[in-house]
Amino acid sequence: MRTFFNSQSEPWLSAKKPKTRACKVYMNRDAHLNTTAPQLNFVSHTHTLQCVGDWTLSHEHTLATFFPRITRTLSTCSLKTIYLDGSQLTHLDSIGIWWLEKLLSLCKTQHIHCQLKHFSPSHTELIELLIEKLRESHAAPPSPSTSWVTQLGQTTLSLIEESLGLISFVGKVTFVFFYLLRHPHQIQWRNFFNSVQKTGFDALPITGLLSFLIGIVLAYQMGIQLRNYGANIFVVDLMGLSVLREFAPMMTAIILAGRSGSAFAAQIGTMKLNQEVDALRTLGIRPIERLVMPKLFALSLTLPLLTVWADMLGILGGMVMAKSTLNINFVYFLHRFSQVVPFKWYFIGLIKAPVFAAIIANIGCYQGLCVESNADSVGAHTTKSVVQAIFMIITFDAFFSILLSWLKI
Amino acid sequence: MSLPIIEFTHMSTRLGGTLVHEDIHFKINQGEIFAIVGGSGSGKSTLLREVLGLLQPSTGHVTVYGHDMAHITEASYRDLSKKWGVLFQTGALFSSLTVLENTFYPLREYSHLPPKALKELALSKLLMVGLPLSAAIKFPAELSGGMLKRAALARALILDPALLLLDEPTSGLDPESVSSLDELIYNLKELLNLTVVMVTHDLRTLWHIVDRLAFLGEKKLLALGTPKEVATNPHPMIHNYFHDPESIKSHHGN
Ligand SMILES: Nc1ncnc2c1ncn2[C@@H]1O[C@H](COP(=O)(O)OP(=O)(O)OP(=O)(O)O)[C@@H](O)[C@H]1O
Ligand SMILES: [Mg+2]
Repeated sequence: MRTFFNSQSEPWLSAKKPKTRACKVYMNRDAHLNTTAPQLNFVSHTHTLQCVGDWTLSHEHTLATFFPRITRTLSTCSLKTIYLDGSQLTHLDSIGIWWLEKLLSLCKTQHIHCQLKHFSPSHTELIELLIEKLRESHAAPPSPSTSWVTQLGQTTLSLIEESLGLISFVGKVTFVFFYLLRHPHQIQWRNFFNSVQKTGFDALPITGLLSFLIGIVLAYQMGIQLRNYGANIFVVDLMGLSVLREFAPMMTAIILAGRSGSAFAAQIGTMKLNQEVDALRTLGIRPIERLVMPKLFALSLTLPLLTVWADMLGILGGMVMAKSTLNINFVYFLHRFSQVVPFKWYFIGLIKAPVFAAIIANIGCYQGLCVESNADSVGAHTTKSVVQAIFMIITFDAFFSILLSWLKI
Repeated sequence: MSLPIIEFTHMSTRLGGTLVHEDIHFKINQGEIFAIVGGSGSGKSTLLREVLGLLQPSTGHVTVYGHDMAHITEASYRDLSKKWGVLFQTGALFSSLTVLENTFYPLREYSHLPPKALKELALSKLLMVGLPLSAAIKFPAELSGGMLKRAALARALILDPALLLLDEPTSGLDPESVSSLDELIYNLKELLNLTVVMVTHDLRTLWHIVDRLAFLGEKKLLALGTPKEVATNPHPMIHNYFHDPESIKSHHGN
């Protein structure tokens, strides 16, 4: 085995190393103590420009001052040939070479022949290596710039595209929804319960607290007005109407749009970024089925439940406030509540919740899948998911109110 | 001329309950091309992360240019950042910037050069690592795997660092590109007297340009020395690494 290897690897070992063209320069780039400021001196009688010291990044400001000065000198000296002397150059890096290249092209534009001399072999090597590339880089295509007309057009087109995309996405989701209804064993129950916990159970404290506070504020403000007419007891009717029918469903939906809709968008967006969505696709799994449906189902369950929870806490807040400012005790409040608040109001509030859930889940997941391959895009689409979801929730709520009043319900 | 740049002093690392390194102790000297080799999961990238101060060893120290990476101040870390160029195993380019912007990002951070200079220097570095100019205005997601590696290498080179830390710079490249990048790294090291620390799986790179290497395995430093010395080490892991029968057979065929 060993001899076999040796006979094999000898040609490798003796293979020529990559061209060792340079002589070694012992410039310790770490010894910052002994850096010398760069200079560019014009010695007029020998027609020589002397480069002195460190032409490096740490002296970029000094290097930048040479250029205007040397432009003036060269335009006044009217020479045909000058020499660039590098014998006193200590350190040289890319920034120094960039300025050398500027100097050489300046000479060229002034029709002066410029000759390098006394540069150390390693500096010469480095200059050759980089200057060639710097010159090539001038040929780079300019970064594309677009006029505002083009931008306007592109923005409009992408808006239309996105709307159409959302519609077709909702179509696909509906399709998969009915498919899963027929094949319930394919539902990802683990993902589903996981989502129920995250979107529902974990949201209990925040939705409860906010509803309670809103109940307090509503009861307080209405109480002040009602007290003027001595109509304290009507606070119960008003609380029932506003909390059950409007505030609880809408507040819960808005909280979940901010809490869960954004999480859906960010999670799916990051998966898209890491090509995890593509990986699912190649495994023959529909991303909608695996990623979107459990979230949609979970939210459709938790949002109505959270709405009930918000109803309870909102009314509780109203009761507390009614007791302390309007002298309506709990028993009397609840007694009147059961008399004047029809079941219909509660039901109307609750029936909106699944629709809100569908809006949040669809928009969140759709925005997540729209993410392109950069980190900014995750941020942009997460923002969009929240803004669009809240917009749609309020629009739908208004539409629903109009519809109900039209139907005289 | 062999000042130690990086020193590992009896260092052990524990990650998520498992021991990754145990009693790693060696030095990397100024001006050498040093390779860290070993099987997959032997902790090579972890070792680099410790050099970069992104991860603290559980016991022992890592010293870079005399700074103990566990207790380094923010200011010294910024100074160090100017001195090293880093290539991560997966490239780690900023996804929302173009390749060109990615490349001059460190230069813009640490200099006040005019935009024109930034652009030209970045482009010349991109050309140097073998990317076409047309790639400059692309976003990282629009590049091929090999182009990503090159772009990340260009970003690592932009500050003319004294210390290059490269995690598999040539994996995913075709053999010809590997040779040309090896030559580039070698030439830069010769011209600028760089210190290069690289993780590599490429035997050709090891034989051609590497001065010394450390072989990691079984959580320990199994061998340290020139490629020639390490290749003759009788330890079965090292032996198999250098004398893979399949590759020798195929080489024999050629
Ligand atoms: N954040 C982490 N938490 C727990 N374990 C980790 C973590 N990062 C790495 N490891 C473990 O440390 C070990 C070394 O990982 P490392 O990435 O350094 O390997 P490597 O030598 O670079 O491998 P490769 O050649 O495949 O890149 C692996 O076993 C890995 O599972
Ligand atoms: Mg690794």
